[in-house]
Amino acid sequence: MIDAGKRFLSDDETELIRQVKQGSRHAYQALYQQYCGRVYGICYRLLGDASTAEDTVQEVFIQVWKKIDSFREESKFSTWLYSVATNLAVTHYRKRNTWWNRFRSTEEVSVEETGVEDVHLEHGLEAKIQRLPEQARMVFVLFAIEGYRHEEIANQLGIAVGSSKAQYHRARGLLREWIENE
Amino acid sequence: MNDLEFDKTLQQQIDALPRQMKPSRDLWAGIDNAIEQQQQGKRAFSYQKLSAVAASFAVLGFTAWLTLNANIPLGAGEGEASLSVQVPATQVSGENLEYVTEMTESFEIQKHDLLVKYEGQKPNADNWRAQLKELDSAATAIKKVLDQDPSNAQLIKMLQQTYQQQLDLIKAVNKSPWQTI
Repeated sequence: MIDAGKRFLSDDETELIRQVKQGSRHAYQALYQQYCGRVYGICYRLLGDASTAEDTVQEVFIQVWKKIDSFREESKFSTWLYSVATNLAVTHYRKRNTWWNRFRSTEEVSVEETGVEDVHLEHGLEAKIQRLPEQARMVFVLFAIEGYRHEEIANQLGIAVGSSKAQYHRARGLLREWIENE
Repeated sequence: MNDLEFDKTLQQQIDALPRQMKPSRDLWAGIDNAIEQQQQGKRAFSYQKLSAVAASFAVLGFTAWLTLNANIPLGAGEGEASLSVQVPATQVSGENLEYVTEMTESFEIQKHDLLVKYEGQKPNADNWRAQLKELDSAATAIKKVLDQDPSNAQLIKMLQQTYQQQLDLIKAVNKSPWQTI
């Protein structure tokens, strides 16, 4: 059965995308307002800090504007947008994860240690995810929340598939420990 | 809690996570600003390209028309009167406008001198005044585009060529028949 509401929204979005392709910034603002929260959620969970996530969201929407002509509408716009967001967040992570940062062992630096007050940590699991070591958090968010396969995660993060699975189990183990000790 | 129970609890907590989050600041202003700058850059680039192409066609068209219809040996007598100012590769807009003014003044003087020199002499083409006027119109069109885009070195070069063609035309139509042998 056709969902009339969904059908309307889909047509509406197609029209917005058509206008964006013709250079309408108003139409693009409407798309931004629709998807900003979700894109920010992806970036925030992957990067673990609000400020970098906000910068990345801006970068995502600027990139999408530049590449909108290459969106062929064979997939959903949201799927395409979230993949751009994930790729840019992962790129930020990989840049941050240089030899110098590895040398400083920032992977073990948690949110608690940085002392930054974060407004998004009201949800119990959210706070625990942010406490995870960086790579374990990236893998956990991509696998358990965003639904990527380990092969895709390994490819994006530039690690072996086995490492991706190991990091997920590490994250799961830590979360279990923290949840059970509550 | 066994593995199965934990996985169930974890999944329930994941499902309860909000998919959307609100950034602490307005991000649209920065995005809009970046997009606007990009659009302006694109427009300026397209306009420059369009102007250069239009001016190229104008100059090429007149050259072809002169060569085919008037059968006048352009470039004859080179060195007698040629614009001596060099076209700079890159200049800031203000300097370019000054340079165009200087070049135009220099051309007007040379054109005037040549017309005075050949005054009273029978030209070897009938319609050369009309051709000169056409070339002058082309130069005016190029100058108008240059007012909008003074940093376009290609347009300055075309203007110089149009001036040079006018000088060559005056010399060619007033050349004595024995000079062409």
